[in-house]
Amino acid sequence: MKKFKGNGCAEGAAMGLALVKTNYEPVYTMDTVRDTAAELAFLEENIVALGQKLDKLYERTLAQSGEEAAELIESYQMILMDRVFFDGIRARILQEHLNCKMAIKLECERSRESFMTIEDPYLRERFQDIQDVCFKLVMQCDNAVDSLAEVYLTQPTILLADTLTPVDTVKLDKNFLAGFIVEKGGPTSHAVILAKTLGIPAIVGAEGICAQVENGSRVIMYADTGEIIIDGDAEEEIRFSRRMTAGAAEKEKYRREPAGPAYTLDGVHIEVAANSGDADTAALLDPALCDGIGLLRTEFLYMAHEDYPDEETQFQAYKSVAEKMRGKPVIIRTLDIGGDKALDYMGLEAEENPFLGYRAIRICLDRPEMFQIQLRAILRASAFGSIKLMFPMIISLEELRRCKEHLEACKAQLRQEGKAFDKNLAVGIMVETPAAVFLADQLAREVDFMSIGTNDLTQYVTVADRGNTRVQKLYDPYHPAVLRALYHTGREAQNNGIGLGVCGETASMRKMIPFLIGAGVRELSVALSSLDKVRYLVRRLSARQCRDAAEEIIHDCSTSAQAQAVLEKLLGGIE
Amino acid sequence: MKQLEVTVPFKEGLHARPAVKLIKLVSGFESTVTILKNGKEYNAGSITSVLAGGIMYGDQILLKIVGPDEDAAAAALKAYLT
Repeated sequence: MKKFKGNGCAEGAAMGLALVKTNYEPVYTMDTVRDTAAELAFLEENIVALGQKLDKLYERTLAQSGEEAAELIESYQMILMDRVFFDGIRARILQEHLNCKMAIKLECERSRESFMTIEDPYLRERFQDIQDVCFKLVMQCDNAVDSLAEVYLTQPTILLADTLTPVDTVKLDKNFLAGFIVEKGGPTSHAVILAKTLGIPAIVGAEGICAQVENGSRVIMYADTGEIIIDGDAEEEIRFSRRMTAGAAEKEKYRREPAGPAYTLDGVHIEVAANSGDADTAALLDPALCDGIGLLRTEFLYMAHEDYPDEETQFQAYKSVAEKMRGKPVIIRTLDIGGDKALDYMGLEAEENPFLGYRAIRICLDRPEMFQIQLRAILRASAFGSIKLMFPMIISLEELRRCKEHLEACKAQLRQEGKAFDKNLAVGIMVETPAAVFLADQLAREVDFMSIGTNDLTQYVTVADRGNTRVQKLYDPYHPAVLRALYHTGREAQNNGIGLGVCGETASMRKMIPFLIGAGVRELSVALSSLDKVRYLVRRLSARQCRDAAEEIIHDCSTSAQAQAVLEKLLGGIE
Repeated sequence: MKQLEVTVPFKEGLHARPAVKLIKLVSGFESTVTILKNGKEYNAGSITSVLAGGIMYGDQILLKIVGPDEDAAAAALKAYLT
């Protein structure tokens, strides 16, 4: 039995078999072979085996992620069947007596040379697909597995990885996934967001775990404490099953909470909305389960493509969400790329300080053509439902005004083209920078609503990188300065009579919800799996008591612990 | 032998979906199809060869079609590429 500890995120506990994401590194030798016929047979055997895996992967990708994602697999299949390319490999085995792996490697390199003469960098990059197939084939020859894409899960599985990228998570078979454990990455990293969407636990910051756990080990994980137990004894298993019984009771309590609008005990309506913006969440969206979408991320639309998605593609995507929500509000956030998410085709340079660098609205305002394509698509979709538009990362009035100028320009174009859009489209901003908090009064006068992005705001106020395990402890949403920022923004929103929402992680935190309501937040936008929990809590709180608690915290509490104690006391009566 | 001169009509260039379709189309015929671009030849039945051509939107390419069903192949290619 081994034990590890990380930072727990995405609630719950899970037990399953370990699947360690491996970074396979092939070894090549110049060894020659005598029996070329046998080596050729070995090559064919592995081509067939890889072909079968790709067929399965194609079917699964098509079913889980759609036609477009499946197309990439199709081009892999086509490369694997390419006679011209494989004749080159066969010739190396037959004539030069090279071993199969080396023959594949050399032919791949020869192919690379011809690609290097292509001028267009994007088309030159297509060599990547050939390289990927060669790599997969060599892996197949070594009987190694790409632990993410090629393993079919047949029982509950806990994935262990150094980091998980959005691309990794697309490949995953999600049917039997019970939890994530990652070494790097913070509580708001992609893996955690996905875990919350799927309603499974995640632990981050479990450094060194991958090297010490083998595939197939039994893993127990507790996301609340960050505890990880590998090959636990009978006692640990009993402890786990007790915990699951208790956890199931709590889940059941929330699950039984009826849908429909959520009012506090004293009759204040709190909108409970969902965060969305990736294929997995979009498929599960149901207007009966929430009051709308408080944050529709649009990055995933850009990530799913190898080039900028055009206006029509974006329009169709936004329109389908708007229609699916049947008139309930959908807040679409314009592209928030850069920082921890970057796209090859955008040609962004690596930066030393990406979170203080070129991202989100800064890129959009620099690339008006790209920005206006998105704005036009959103405007056109607004004719098909109740869409609101939101700009991220705003730090000044000038930025907001420039955004609105672009929007007006797009409206004028559409009018001229005779295309329909919602003339009263509500425009808002994310409040996620300290600058926006300090300017909240001025910004509030020029927008229809604001939504606090507590993930970034907490990081910028505490100056703690949420992905850095050494300073993660400083990233505290109950830090008095963070609470003051929230409270101040709430006051300014109320003074100007505009709506205020929260779309960060804190909107689903049990202790944070009363503070947010007390600060004047009237919309909580959370992961799908947290909707019932938020509704449950809202309906058992009094807005007046929440306000008193928030005021007490702002005036009398100087530490995170004190603030949490006040909130815990308020929640004490509920269970 | 049949020859066909075309301007590449695919915005993204000849890769991904357009390339996959081309290969599928060509492999449905017995004839050999060669793409000529800037004096270099590429096998239109091979994805690695087509991709190595780095053929972009608006490029002028010449297709040479040789084989027993070259007429039908040329007609199908013409329909696809123009």
